[in-house]
Amino acid sequence: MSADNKRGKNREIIKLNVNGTDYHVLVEHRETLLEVLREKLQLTGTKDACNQGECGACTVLLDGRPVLACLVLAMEVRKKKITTIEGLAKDGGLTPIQESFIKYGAIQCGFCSPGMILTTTALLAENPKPTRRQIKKAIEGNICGCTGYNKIIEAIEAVRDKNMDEGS
Amino acid sequence: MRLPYFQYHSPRSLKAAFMLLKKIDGKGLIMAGGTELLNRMKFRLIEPEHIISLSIIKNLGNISIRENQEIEIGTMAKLTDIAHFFEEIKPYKALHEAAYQVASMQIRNMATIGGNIFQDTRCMFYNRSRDWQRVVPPCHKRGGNICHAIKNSKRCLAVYQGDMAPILIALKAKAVFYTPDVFYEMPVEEVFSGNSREPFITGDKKILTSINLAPPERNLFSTYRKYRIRDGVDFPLAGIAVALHKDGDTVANLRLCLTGVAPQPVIVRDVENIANGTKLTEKIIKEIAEMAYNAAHPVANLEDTPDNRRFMVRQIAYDLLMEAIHVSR
Ligand SMILES: Cc1cc2nc3c(=O)[nH]c(=O)nc-3n(C[C@H](O)[C@H](O)[C@H](O)COP(=O)(O)OP(=O)(O)OC[C@H]3O[C@@H](n4cnc5c(N)ncnc54)[C@H](O)[C@@H]3O)c2cc1C
Ligand code: FES
Ligand code: FES
Repeated sequence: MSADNKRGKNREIIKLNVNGTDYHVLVEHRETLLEVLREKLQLTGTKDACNQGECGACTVLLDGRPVLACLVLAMEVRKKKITTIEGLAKDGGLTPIQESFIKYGAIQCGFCSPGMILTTTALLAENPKPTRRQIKKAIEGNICGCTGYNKIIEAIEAVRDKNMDEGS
Repeated sequence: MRLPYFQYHSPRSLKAAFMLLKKIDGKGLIMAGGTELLNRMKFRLIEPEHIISLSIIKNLGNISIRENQEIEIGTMAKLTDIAHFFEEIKPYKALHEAAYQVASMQIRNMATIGGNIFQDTRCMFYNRSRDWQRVVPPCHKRGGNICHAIKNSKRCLAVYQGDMAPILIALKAKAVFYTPDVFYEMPVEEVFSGNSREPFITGDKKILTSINLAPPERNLFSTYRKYRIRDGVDFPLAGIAVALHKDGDTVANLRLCLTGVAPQPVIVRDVENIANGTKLTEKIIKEIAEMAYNAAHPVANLEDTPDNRRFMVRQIAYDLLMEAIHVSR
């Protein structure tokens, strides 16, 4: 505590682009993107679980790439495009990946789902036809305590197979 | 877990970063991807007053092939990009393998090569929550004078668990540092002090700018494998990097380097005396695997026993070299 009290609370107003919208937010230098998303922008779809990089619940996309919001400072992402789970559905319609997760029972308690779905979204954007191995490797950093992963992998494979049928 | 208070800086040039580091004189640290640094700060293992981010300095994250075919990896190059770049450069395939085995996709998208090399040593009695720190007396690394891993140990035995340094050392890569006057370089192995409490001779006041590799040679084969409990996310409980130069079907040079078994990466000494000039038969490979085993001295401070980790060093060294003679043929 000692050091915390003695030090000045460095604050700054910064601009963050989240899900296509610019926000001007007053942040402390020490605040993580996760804290700012959840507490200042009320975007609580991004989950706070281990808070130390182990579980992937806080996954967001930075310029399309999945990263962990608990391990990145808000100050570091001023020039980036941030996508959270709230930014996926368009006009109230879920994405095919979200639909597939529901259809295949890949969501139980749902705590891992935002992170899992964002990781999957990035994977399929880069590689629309991943092998089962590539899928497993991609989601290695997203811990799910409920499903045992099989349903999740099936849900992702279903989207992939549809991609293949459509020849994309 | 909130981070402690600090002042954040994002200088635009290396010179500005260097001057700032000098000015704050030991009260601040460089931040690259932040994946290692911020965790230590959350646990209050360190509480720097200033954080100097290198993130907006231009061109520090490039990976490029120079005219003379040398490869330069900028210190801010992300592990994802390194894994991708070296997938197709066969002699340096081990860099792909090592980068690809670090942590998770999300972390590799943030983590840099510089941060990976300069990660602190770890110990299951040190990298612990604040609650734990409150009730357990401080060890050497926390400023006390005891060791929880080996009672009576006069020194800290925390382990270096970086995945990238061993293969860079096996490949004789150079680390390039910045000063306003000159860029100077040293072999990667020389940045390590061997002291768990202060693992780097460069301290906190040097800025790495790049890692340089010799032009890839067609007769070079490299590989890296790590032992861990889970096949994802986990740090290496032991890791082995191999660089094998062949001359026809005999060995021109062999270098082995270990991680996860000591306060610094460990070069397995004298393997070249046994291997060079030979055809690397299974008998010789067994001998080398035994040398790797003897070079590893893990203690009981990570998630598996020292015996198991040492055993795995021997087994993986054997496996990698057996594979190497087939693949490099
Ligand atoms: C869940 C989890 C799993 C992990 N698994 C692994 C693993 O399997 N293998 C592994 O090797 N690591 C692992 N890590 C550790 C870490 O993520 C990586 O080592 C990563 O490469 C660190 O890079 P960074 O850019 O994030 O470093 P930072 O956190 O930014 O910095 C790390 C250290 O390096 C110093 N530093 C950074 N850049 C420079 C520079 N240019 N000059 C001088 N000093 C510098 C910083 O001051 C700091 O002390 C893991 C981390 C987490 C959270
Ligand atoms: S909350 Fe960020 S990885 Fe677990
Ligand atoms: S659905 Fe509960 S953690 Fe994955």
